[in-house]
Amino acid sequence: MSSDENYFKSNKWLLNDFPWLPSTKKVYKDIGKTNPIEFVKNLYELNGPELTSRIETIFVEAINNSEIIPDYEPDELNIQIYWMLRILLYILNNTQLTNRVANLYSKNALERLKAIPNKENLYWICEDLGLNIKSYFHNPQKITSRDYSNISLHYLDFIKLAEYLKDENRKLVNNSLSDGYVILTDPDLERLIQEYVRNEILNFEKARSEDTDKEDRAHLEKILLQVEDFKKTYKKIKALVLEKKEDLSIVSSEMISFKEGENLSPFFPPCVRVIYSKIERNENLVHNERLFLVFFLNALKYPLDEMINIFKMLPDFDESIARYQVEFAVRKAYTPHGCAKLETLGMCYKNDKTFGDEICRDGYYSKKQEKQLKISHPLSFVNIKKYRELRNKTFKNTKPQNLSK
Amino acid sequence: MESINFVKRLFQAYYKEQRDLFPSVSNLERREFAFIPWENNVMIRHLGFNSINILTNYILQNVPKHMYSSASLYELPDAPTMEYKNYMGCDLVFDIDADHLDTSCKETHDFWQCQACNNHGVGEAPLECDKCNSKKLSKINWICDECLEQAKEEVFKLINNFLEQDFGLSRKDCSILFSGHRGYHIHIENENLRNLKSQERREIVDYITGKNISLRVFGLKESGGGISRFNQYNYGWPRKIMLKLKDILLIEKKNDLRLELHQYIKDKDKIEKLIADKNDLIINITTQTQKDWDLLKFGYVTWKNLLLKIAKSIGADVDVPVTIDTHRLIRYPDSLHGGSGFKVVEINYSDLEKFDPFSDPVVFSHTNLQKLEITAPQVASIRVRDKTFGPFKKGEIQELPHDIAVFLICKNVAKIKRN
Repeated sequence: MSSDENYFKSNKWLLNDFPWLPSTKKVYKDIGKTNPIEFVKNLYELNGPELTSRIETIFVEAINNSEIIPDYEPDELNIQIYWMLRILLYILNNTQLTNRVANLYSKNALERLKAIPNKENLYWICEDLGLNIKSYFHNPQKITSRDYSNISLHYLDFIKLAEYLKDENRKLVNNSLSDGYVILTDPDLERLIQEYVRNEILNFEKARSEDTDKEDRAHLEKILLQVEDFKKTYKKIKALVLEKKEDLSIVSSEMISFKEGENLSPFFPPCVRVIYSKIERNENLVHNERLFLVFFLNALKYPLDEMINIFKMLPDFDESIARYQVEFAVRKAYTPHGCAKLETLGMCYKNDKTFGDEICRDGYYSKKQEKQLKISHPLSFVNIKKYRELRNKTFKNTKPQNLSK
Repeated sequence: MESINFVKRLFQAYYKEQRDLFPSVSNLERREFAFIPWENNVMIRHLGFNSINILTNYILQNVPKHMYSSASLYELPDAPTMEYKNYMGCDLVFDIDADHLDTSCKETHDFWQCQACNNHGVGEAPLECDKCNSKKLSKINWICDECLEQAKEEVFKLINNFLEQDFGLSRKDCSILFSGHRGYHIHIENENLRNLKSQERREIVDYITGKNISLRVFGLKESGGGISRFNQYNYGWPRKIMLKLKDILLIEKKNDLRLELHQYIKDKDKIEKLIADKNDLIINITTQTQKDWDLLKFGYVTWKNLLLKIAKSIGADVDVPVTIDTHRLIRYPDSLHGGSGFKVVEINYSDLEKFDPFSDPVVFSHTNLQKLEITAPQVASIRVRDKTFGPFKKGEIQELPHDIAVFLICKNVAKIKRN
């Protein structure tokens, strides 16, 4: 038995609080071994109402973009809930939903890590995650005149954990690298562990093998739905997802994003096209228009220089000021205003003669043509426009050749 | 064609001589091979060899102009497309090329010629011919001691200041190869690094070049006037920048200091302000205080520009696409470079200082002579071994040793002259 396994055996509270730790599987050996149907059956028999309520809370909060799981209980049931999430996300197979759960759960994990009573536990957590670290708890390393480090992380682990973090202080070049290790403050290390948790949950949904995956999911879904309580939870989540479908489609990982050489502007909503037209006419923009445009382009992952280039056409353009403002906005990474906010700011142009668009005015039909949905966010507009273009292209491409002359 | 046949025969003689000495790269059977023949410039790739003997036989039969093997390993290196090769990882490779370095010698030895009107000139090629406005310009990038010395300096910078000091790699892990022409390759074979994805390699190369440095993260405040955390006791880039600034400020003679600072700051008043405050600045750099630097006299933009220029001078000038490309083909050790006739030489770190790129990679005779006619409008001088040849002018007939004759033919500035 490894020393960290021993440590976690005598500190089970850590596993209860952080059920994503690999030692969970070693200390609670039964979890990974029982077959899913038995696991789920037993779980509902022992903890039915509480289990249902806690799982549903996680999904509701995730869909609502919350950052904390309310009444989070770091008990043994918390471990079982984590495994249930794993099963549910796998069979639900919904990328946007998995993203939301991963965001919520990892943000919650960060708050729990921040509150950890003895920071030496970070050492055991990193060890358990298999990270290559050096610890200095007895002789903290001075990073700057203000900051100290208890743990440094090998640069290869750092790069892998920070892969999807875009803020400039997560770039290797802006970190304290020495002799192969990035010397980190506790908060920086905790942020990277949060990223580990996020990636772990994102992997729940991913296919294990492309060939057998569809069958596996369907089979697991079929047998688990035989457990009545599970079926209720599952259906509730599905209903919730359907209800919040449009909301879930905003700022998802599958969202349209900037690609070198591709012009996205034809898919922009009226509110953005009006701002663009002002820029093209070399008119100055008001503060709210500038901010909204940067937040909007940043959400579509436009590169910094590309955004600054757009502002270059403004009469009051000053590169250093523009760069500062754009960098600030990018750092903050705010979601652009939704339609309601734009209306209150007088920036909604859905009825404009030149720029108005029926998607904004009348909404759009859902894929199944069941009901008409309203647009509530300019980013949804981009998704819908792009989706329609793809659909039309596909239709054109699949048109039988012998029908056209 | 006669000139090409002449060089090809000499290449063949070299490869024959090397038959039993030709080196095998690690995991030879897992690497893709590629060759460029003399007859045309079309690369023959997607080849694989199971042993060094089979490879040597291929070289002897085909006598290529250029020879490459992949930095990547594949299950099926000879599969006809990348998709079917089954990628197994890629070594970490850095390329330092004198062409990319900002050296003043380029203005004296590089030259261009207009393909439409034969107008020509020295230095960097213009966008279009100043006589006939044609954009079809042929360029010849020359090499000299200055630019290859600068390239060597960059190798030292890369290995000492970054790979060893910051990434904790041993210099023994870094195999250094002179490319046979304009630069050096640093090749690191390490199981942990082989699995790095392209984006992850970019993080490493950004660190080494200093791209995307944020002075804000290091403590340079945009308002309120101060640098709060920079000093020489930091790690990574802040430490490097501070040590360099300290070294500059420690220049004793005021005029020398002025000249040095002028490389980083153009405003003379600001240079004088910096000189007046230099002792306080050195104290700030060398003491671990929490005190903010006083920026009021200097301004954020000037600080930012100064520190970023210092950072640029510290970064190693590596060719980024080479490092981030996980399917890169690189020159094979001991093969001959068809653009110079020089050998691709593997160099021990301890021998790098005294390595002479105009002598050590030269394999052809300096006693056998060959008559050549210069075909380029002008050709800068070139040292081979301990003798300098040229400069030459178009039409000049020269009887030259094989080593320099091969170089001039490979550079496409001369041809065989028959009596």
